[in-house]
Amino acid sequence: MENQCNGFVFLDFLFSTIPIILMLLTALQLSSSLTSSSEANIKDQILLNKLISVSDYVVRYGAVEKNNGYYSPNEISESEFNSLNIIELKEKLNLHNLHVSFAQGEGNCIYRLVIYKNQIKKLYFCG
Amino acid sequence: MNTIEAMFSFLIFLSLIPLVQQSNYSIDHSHYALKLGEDIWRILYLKGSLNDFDENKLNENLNELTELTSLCIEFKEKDVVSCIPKESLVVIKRIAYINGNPRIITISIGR
Repeated sequence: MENQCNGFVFLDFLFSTIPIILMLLTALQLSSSLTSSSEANIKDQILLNKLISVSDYVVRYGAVEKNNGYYSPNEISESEFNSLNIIELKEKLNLHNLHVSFAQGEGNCIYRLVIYKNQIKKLYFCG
Repeated sequence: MNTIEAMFSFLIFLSLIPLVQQSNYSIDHSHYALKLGEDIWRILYLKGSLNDFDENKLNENLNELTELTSLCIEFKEKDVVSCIPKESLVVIKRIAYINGNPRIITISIGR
């Protein structure tokens, strides 16, 4: 009788480890997937912040009309825009790619609103 | 008995997983929305829409901006809106001169 009881307790203990092992495996898998998706989101956030920084520079200073030393933000000058050093900007911000144009490029893009040749246009920044 | 308790714990654990997944980090676009709001204000200023708030010119430029960006732009104090947004992205306040007097203008941008 005692052996039967011991046998039952042992089997009960054995079977109870199955849900516990399943919980552990699920927790490990969940932790791993949360970490990798958070890492991807953080990388995207960093890229977004960098694109905002470079767009701020271009739209407020780098490619704008300059009249007697006064800058006109959001008013893009053709000559200043064409003389932008994109490679230097890319290196300074440690970006793999940087594409600045009035047409949308590849990768993650943002746009800023500007006036170019008297028209309201979107200026895309892609990285 | 241990098996039943362990299975019950496992079921409760499974039910908590969606809550944990919801708290995952998501990208914050508020800074970008603010920049777009500032761009819109600056564009309207450069186009002359903010000179004593010519409503016809303002409506024309707002419609042009909405067509280009699909963003809805509202001037709360002047009750001028280009379209009805489903969600608000950013609200900014700026000072503009209306009839020679400085007034605080609230622009709401949504989509």
